[in-house]
Amino acid sequence: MSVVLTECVFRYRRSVPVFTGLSLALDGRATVLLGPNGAGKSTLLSLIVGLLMPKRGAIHVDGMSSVSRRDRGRYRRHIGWLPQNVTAVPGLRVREQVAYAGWLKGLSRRDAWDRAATVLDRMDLTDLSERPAHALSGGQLRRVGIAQALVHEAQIVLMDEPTAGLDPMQRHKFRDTLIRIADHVRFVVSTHQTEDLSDIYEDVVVLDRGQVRYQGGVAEFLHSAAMTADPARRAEEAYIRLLSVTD
Amino acid sequence: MLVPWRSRAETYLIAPLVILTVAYGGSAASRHVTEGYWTAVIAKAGLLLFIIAPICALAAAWEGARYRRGELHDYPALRPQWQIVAVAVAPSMLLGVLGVSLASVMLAPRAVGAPGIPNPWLLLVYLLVVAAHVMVGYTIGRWFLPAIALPAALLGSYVWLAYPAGITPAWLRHLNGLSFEACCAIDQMPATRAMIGTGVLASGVIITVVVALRSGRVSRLIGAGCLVLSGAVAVGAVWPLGPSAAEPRTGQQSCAGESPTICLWPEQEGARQTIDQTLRPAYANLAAAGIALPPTVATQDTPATDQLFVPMEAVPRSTDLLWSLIVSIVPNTTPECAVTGPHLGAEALGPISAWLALTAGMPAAELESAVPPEDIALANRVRSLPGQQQLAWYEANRAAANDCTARPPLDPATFAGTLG
Repeated sequence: MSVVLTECVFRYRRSVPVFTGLSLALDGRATVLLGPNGAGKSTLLSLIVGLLMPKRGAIHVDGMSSVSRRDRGRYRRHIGWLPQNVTAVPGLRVREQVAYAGWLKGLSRRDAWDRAATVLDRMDLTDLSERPAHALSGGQLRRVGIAQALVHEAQIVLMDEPTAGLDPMQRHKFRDTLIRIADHVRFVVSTHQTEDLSDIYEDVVVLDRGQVRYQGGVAEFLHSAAMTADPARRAEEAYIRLLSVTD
Repeated sequence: MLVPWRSRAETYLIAPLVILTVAYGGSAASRHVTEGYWTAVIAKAGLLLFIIAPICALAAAWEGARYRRGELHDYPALRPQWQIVAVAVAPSMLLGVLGVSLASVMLAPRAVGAPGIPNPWLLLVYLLVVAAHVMVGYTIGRWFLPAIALPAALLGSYVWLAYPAGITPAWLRHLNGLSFEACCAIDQMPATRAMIGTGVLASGVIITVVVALRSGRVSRLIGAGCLVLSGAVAVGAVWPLGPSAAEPRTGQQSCAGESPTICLWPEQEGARQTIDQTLRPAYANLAAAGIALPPTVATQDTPATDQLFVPMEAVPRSTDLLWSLIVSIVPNTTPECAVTGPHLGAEALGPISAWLALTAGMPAAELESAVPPEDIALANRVRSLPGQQQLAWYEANRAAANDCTARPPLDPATFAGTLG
């Protein structure tokens, strides 16, 4: 399973281009997409998810094109999406919200309902399933968002800044959640926080101003930091170094 | 159920819908309706759309607001937009079906037992109107903040239904589905143009919303084009109509008997015996008095030249029947000269109506509610004359009734002895 972007051009209306010919292949099991604010991480994920369409170029997931009408259904079924802000749908309980997401993804009502229970169970969220979604904390809602992304048995889940705004305890729980799902799906997580980089991930992509500054393994990325750097801050050191060099 | 009933606005709006529909349907709507005629009863039920549609629009706006507040537009759904919308608004539509059904049931006792069935085209038009309001309400809910969307959906729907009837141009009222409430006498049916106008506009709005809710500028342009086109077709359809949404009823009347042959609508067949027993003696009495009447009585408003149009209810009373016969004989059009000046000949209308009624066999006591006592007294004096002189009095005054400048020769003494 791989995500391949070829010569992608994208700009928001009346704005400077975000990508002017981005080519990128994401084929690791767990990839972290690093980059400063405004680097184009969210835009990149939105393009892969299919919420945005490239002006030129192509995006393929397992050979299926995001712009082809013929492929669109299967393409979207392969992908799960966790947006930056997971919003509680008013009036729904957690299981209902996850089931509704499954229905939107094409599952029958019955299957969506059953799958919602399964995925909540897998993510250890069964206790929350009868709680009103709007009553959850930010971290809980983020994990429910992952359940939504997984409910239709997505092959790859894209997560846009999933740890933004979470306290250390919630970040820890979120990390546990990623470990739980790592055996079942591949995922790409965007973040601007280097402390999110952990041994969960295989690959790192650093994006800056619409350009890929680095793509490779986590270990190689960490090695690019000065040998004298504090081990706890090596990721940050490597990241700053990389962006300073490219500046 | 994707969104459980406990969270649906419909759950909480059923009670107001039922209460308002029953309250209003039980009083105003049921007062003036053609008894025993399904089409008229269903047409009258349309009056309650001004309660039903706004409530449904409000419910749909609530559901649209849920979509907006849940930011579901940012969810990469696999289902087509029309399917998402259809499932979201289905309960609101269900509420509308309940409302229209309830309105029809409220009025149904006025037609139960009558032949025929509730007019399915009218019901279809009502449901299209409700669906259009639901779709617009849903769209408003998706596009605007709930604080704006909910009152806008409720009030906008109400204003569109309640106000066109009171403003000009007259054809505007035929676009919202409420104008049928004044339809129909038994010889009328809902104007086809009004049904087409209402139905096309409502369908156009529904299609527009479904298309416009898809993302992309092309979809919105197609939606706008669809709205303009359906609006143009709808206005074109209702443009020639006056204030009434009724037109002469088509279909075959069944005719039976001679002197006269009486032609009735299916709804009147049950009362044929009463009609026969009332009209035939009256016809015979009038013929004996020398009044020449067409050989056929018809109850449709577009009679042939050899037919006399006698309007009557599905189950008429004898007195009403007789009076309807008399009114059909008496000149009932105002002469042109009376539009701008006095109409002296009109003084003859009361006396000749009274004379015709008494001659036809109506008891004087039953006539008192329709004609002033002095006219009845005058008619009785005329009836004391010999038959030929009565006829001469009648014909002279009937002709004078159309004269604006001369007083009619009402005094029976003028005719006494004139014919030997």
